[in-house]
Amino acid sequence: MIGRFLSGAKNRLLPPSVPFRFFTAAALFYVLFWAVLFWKAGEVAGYRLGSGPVLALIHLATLGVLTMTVIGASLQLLSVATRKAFRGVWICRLLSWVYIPGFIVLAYGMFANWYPAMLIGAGFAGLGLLIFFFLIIDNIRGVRGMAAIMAHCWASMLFLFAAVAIGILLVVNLDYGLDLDQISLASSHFILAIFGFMSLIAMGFSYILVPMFAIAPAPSEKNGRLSIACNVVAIIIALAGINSHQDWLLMVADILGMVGVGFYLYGMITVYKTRMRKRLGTPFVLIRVSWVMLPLALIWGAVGIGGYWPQNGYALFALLAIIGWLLTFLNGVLQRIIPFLGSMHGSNRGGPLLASSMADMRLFDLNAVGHLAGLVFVALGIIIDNDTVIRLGAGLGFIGGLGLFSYVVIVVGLLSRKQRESASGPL
Amino acid sequence: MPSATDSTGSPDWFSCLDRRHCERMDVRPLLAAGTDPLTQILARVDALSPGVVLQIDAPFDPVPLRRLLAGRGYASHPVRLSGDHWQVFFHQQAAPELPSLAGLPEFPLMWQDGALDMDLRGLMPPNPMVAVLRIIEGGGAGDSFTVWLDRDPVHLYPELAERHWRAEVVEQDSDGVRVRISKESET
Ligand code: HEM
Repeated sequence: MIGRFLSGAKNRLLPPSVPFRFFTAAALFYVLFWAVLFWKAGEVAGYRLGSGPVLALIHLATLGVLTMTVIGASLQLLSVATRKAFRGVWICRLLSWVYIPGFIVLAYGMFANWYPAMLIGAGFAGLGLLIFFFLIIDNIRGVRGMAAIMAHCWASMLFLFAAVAIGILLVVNLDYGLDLDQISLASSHFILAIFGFMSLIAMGFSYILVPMFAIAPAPSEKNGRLSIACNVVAIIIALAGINSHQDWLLMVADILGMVGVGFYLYGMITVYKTRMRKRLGTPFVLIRVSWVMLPLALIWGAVGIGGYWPQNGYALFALLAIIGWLLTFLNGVLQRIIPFLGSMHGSNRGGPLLASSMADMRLFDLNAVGHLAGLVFVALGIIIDNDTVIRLGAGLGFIGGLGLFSYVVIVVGLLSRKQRESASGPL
Repeated sequence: MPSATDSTGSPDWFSCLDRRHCERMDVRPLLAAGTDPLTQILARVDALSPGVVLQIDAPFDPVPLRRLLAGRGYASHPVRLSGDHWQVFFHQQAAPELPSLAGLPEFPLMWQDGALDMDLRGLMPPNPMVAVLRIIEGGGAGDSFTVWLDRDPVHLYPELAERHWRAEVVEQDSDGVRVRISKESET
């Protein structure tokens, strides 16, 4: 009977090849990210602008790991939450065929300062993100209930749209020298992409995912609404501040952002306190660290706006926001989603597979230790401006990345074996 | 606990009903005037003295109201007098001993045919899953109960499997699915 129930659930879930192609790509680019960081450690600390290996590194993390994970997770989870199937599995597949190769060409173009590749890659990656944008908007349009989460999705998608448009403009400006203010554009792109698109979607999904993982009542809707209202206004004020060169506006935005994040964290702490699952394991070590990193990034941002950043202050800010908050959070989320999807899709008539029976869970411990050690050493290396320490951190992160990648590959192998068996089996 | 019934199928409390301990409320004029009587009914229920039965005259069997009041511990019994005249009697039961559902929003919960039935539709995810697992872990609902859900509870299955419980769809319509959740037998 479980078989009957599960088959219904499996129908609601997308075919596993769709989310897993994004998750596998994310895990691969995550390993590659640490590898390139190891290789180019000397260029990181002082980076501020322009194309080259560091820009490629930033996009390996943002487009390669973060966005890839968010696409896989949204396609997988959103239809379950909104109870609306996505408009066509073929569109999801098309998205992967346009976005993943487009991103690879873009990242290579950035790395090698090869402008035609950057332009072509930006075009295809941008088109992929546009498909993603329409898929999500189409799915959340007209959904009743879950107002706070839907508001997060809407805002995040609109900011993604703007971030991609500016990203493409930045590439064109680098290539053709359109005489645009590259610094203001790049900073607007940063705010839109990191705090607008990525952070809002991560926070929005938290309101479902975190209580689901911890088995706790969902936090109050009001909390989520206050948080998204503050955060959206903060982002708009920040954009106004950047483009009018008014630091006081940036400070107002930062403080308002802290209030928004405060509401979010308050909701998450409530979830944590009322949880039924007492042992949350390694994924929550990562998630909890990310919750410390997010306000820390905003505080460090305020220090910078006040003019008190020491040398390398900007690199540390980007590290706290991108690796400390977003990569750490999404790593924790991946550590929960991948075993869940594996267990659902790998289910047999005896019921769902147990996560621990699919692959050695210690791979996740390796991933977490490597990631956190990588974060600490790279941060330290940036602060003391020492390439060797950054390289040490990158090496540790690389080993941790291999842990996550191995787990994903083992689960994908298991699922494809199961699929082959059920296609050729007598039943 | 589920109510015992007499040979006619009426619950015992209804068979022994003393009409003097019955308060009557006719909502047909309100409905005819296009007014939703829910607020007035709830005010009346709140003001009801212990042991008193509320009799509501309505043009149909108000199933959603019965579910709602079941969640507040009221058993109900409908009697059809004519095509468009129903009398529904509400009687407060001793509340069953269930695990704490604190932190979750209110939802209709009633005992039906000896089993607990919860209507978890409209709750924000993952609250339906949390309610089911609280009931399982806290005991009090026996080895089987049913829930109405408005979506496939995909994330619940691995949790049930881990606890040696299972789920079976017993009804499905455009409003959602009704799922029986029961303990795996030892064999
Ligand atoms: C097709 C999409 C995108 C394109 C073409 C693109 C392009 C660019 C370019 C050309 C720059 C360099 C600006 C400069 O320093 O001169 C840049 C910076 C950056 N991008 Fe993107 N980007 C895209 C999407 C994203 C996304 C989705 C994210 C994050 C989720 C992101 C995060 C960043 C960050 C953090 C920087 C550094 C900004 C700074 O130095 O202040 N980008 N991007």
